[in-house]
Amino acid sequence: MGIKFLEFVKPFCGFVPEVSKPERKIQFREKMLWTAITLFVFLVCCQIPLFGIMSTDSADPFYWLRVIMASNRGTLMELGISPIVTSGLIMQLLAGAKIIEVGDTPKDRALFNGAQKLFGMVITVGQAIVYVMSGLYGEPSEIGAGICLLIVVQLVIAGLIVLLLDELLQKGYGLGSGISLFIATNICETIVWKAFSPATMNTGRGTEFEGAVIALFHLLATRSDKVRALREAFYRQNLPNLMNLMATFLVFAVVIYFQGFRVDLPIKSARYRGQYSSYPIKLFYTSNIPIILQSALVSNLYVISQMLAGKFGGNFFINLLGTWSDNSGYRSVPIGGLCYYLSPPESLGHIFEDPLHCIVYIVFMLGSCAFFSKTWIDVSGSSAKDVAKQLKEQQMVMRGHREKSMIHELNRYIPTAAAFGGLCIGALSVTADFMGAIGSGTGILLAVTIIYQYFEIFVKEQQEMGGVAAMFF
Amino acid sequence: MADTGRSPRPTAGGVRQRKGGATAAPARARGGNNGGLWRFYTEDSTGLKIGPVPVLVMSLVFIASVFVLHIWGKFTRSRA
Repeated sequence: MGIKFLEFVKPFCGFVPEVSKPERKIQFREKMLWTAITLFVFLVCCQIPLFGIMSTDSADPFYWLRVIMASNRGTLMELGISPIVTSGLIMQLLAGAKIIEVGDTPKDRALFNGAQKLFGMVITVGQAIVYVMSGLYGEPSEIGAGICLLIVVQLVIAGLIVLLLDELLQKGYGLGSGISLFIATNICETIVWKAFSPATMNTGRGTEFEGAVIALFHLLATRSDKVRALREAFYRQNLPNLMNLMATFLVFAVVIYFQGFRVDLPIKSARYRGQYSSYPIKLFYTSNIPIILQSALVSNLYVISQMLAGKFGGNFFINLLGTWSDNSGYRSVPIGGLCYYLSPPESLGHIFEDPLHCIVYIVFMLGSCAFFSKTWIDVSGSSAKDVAKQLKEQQMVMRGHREKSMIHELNRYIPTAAAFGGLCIGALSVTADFMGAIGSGTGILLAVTIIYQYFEIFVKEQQEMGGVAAMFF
Repeated sequence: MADTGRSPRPTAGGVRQRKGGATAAPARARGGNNGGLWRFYTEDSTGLKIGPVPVLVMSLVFIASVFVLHIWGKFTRSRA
């Protein structure tokens, strides 16, 4: 197969729409504007319900996907970014397993990107059809063929728009990338909502507010026993409590602290004597990519398992993959099989009840994050060879090293940084899950790394513009 | 250990001596990637090129048409 696959895909890539690269330099203010517009379109799409759906009150099979995939139930963003991420994941795996060979030339990589995008569109269509046919919006026979088709068309166009918006930002019209912007927005929304939600719920001990901070004041004001009110606000189990909120902020702080960890390799200019500089290799060399890919893998597994369990529950192999219970109402929870062991433990107490679950989960998280991190550097063009080439173009050499030994020297650091960084990301995510951080461990980790990336972009732009004031005025 | 790979030819940086740029900017190469899942190599890609404004117009038209569909749906349902 090898290179033939990309050659095979080539003619189809011509049909994939693509945002053209800006011909002039986009000013910072214009970039902000495009970013805001993109976000606006995304948020509007998150609110508009799909036309033609009958019901959405069954247990949500995609609950596990929602946070990571920036999707909202029953709206135009039903699919969110999941087709993009899934296609990215599969292509990564194929390239990592050397089933598709990606050469070093830009042409090969462009073709790889084209294939990835094409594949993303195919997945969008496939997912849309599966969603409608599986009766997620009501029985297909009741809805009628015309409306079914209409729902599929809506989902596909929405998917295409997300794809283009993402590309729009990445090509340099905006800041960062669409995927990260959408994920971060979604998670921050969740955190703010869980902290300040004014929705009330009847818990059996009187009405309580859902939002942790609001509940604190409400409980302090209404309960006569203030100590018990405080304990309730901090440790209540069924709703977000203040401990969750504090854990969230702790994880935020820790991840930002770790972002600063790096090895500085001394480099010097080959042209000018005495011009020294350094090339930083960060601990989080691949940033949040391993987490994105890992969660895409797990959530897709969950969805497939749930669909299979719904259709052919009781089969031995299906049960081996996962058994699900709908007891907690708005979401299905894995209670057995592979999916159970890959899902985060519900609480700290659960660790002692089922240590095996906990161990399998930790090993899987750390292993998969390290693996994805390592394969990612090869396909994304940030491996030692690429870095060496980049430095060569800038006419920089490592102090005390020749060109050949430079790759060798970089190879000592980069794969290690990638694998170990991935491992750390996985470990942090596990810790966050155990502490019960709001929006799940992976979610919060994604949000922090993305926000940090945006911060870095701002700093860079600011340096280019010369001051904060110059950026906006 | 690193100096063992000694080759007679000079480093590529030393060979190419361009006189254009006055000051060599310090190499601020970015570590890792910039957060995107994809990297784009636009020079060689073969796609249907569209500008950013058409993308915006397309998405707005799409949103508007879904709105219209909703309104139309309400209208026909109330009549039936």
